[in-house]
Amino acid sequence: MDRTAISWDTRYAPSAEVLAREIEGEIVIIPLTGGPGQDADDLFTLNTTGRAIWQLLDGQHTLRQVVEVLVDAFDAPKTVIEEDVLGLLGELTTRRLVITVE
Amino acid sequence: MVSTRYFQIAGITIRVTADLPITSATFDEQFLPFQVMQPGEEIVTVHHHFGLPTPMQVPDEHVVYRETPWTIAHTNDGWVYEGRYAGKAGERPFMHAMWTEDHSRGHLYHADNVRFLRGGLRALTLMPTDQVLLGQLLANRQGCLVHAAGMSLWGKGVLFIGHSDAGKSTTVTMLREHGEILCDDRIAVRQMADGYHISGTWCHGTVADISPATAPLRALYFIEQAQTNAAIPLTNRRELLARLLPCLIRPLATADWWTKTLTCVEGMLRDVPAYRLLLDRSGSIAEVLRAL
Repeated sequence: MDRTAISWDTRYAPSAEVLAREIEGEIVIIPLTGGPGQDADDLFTLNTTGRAIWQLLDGQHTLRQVVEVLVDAFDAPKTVIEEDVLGLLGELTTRRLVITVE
Repeated sequence: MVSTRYFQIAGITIRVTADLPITSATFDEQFLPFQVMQPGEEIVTVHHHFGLPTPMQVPDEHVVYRETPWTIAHTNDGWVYEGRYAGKAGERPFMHAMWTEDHSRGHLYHADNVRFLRGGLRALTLMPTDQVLLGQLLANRQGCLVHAAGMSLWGKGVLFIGHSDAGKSTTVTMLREHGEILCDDRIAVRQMADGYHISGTWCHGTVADISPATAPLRALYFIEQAQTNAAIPLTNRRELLARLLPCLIRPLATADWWTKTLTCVEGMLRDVPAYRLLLDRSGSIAEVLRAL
């Protein structure tokens, strides 16, 4: 993902082709594009930080707001949270698990 | 003329009928242990027709999956599967299947009767595998199909789970004398009133021993090659989840299928003890398992 192309005012939301389910405290993200006999290596699980980010990618929060909420929640430096958000967003957009919301 | 055979798997009777006679040679002998004379309470019907319907209709607006050779559509009436070979002369349909919403009844139309008449069929659906059907049927019955070897070991159902070549078949072969091999590659899991049960399937790997038997599921063993034999409890459910999810056999994986299947998986994680099973292939693992 080209990070310079990221606008912190962009809102993201889960793709309609995705099912997210919380199991044992982890969020499992499942692309619904798989067909018969496909392997399960496209399943995506999120740790605590990833889970918090995912829950804020709700089409309501801009990335800037996502970072602000998480800085407060985790009491972590803004630069660290920004890196986490961009890292996960890169994975999610590459796998087409999220879409931008106008 | 319609001829009928019944096959029982994981408590489900698959009633197979066809427009041509079904003989003792029609299906591979692997199905013999699963054949029953009378249907049980849960009946699924598969009917084979020979000759494709005209016109075949796979409504584009309802297509949910398209990758050669399969196109799958989800309509108000159920599911439509169309199989097409891609050749130099273009695509040629070989199968058109119409299933009810819950896959409890299917009309399967085949381009010709050559394979059927030749016999020795290794799938009741005449598809490359019956896993697609079994995956759907089990999901609708609080169950799932897993990539695992299964045994009834001293009366207890156990699953040996691992990637291909992890040693599943070797393990059940080593333990053969201590119980009954259900299948070395695909096992049906169902949640019943008294807990989870496993059943054998005909989708086997290198070990031809298969059984339609059912056993209460008492342990999940994740196989690891090692220099010793040991069973180490796995109590971290997140780790268990990460190990188990890749082992699910997926049919067309819809949101509904995933939701039902994950409910089954969650219950297994909660109710069934799991272990890392370290194996040195000496065969003495039986002593370790018996002690658990």
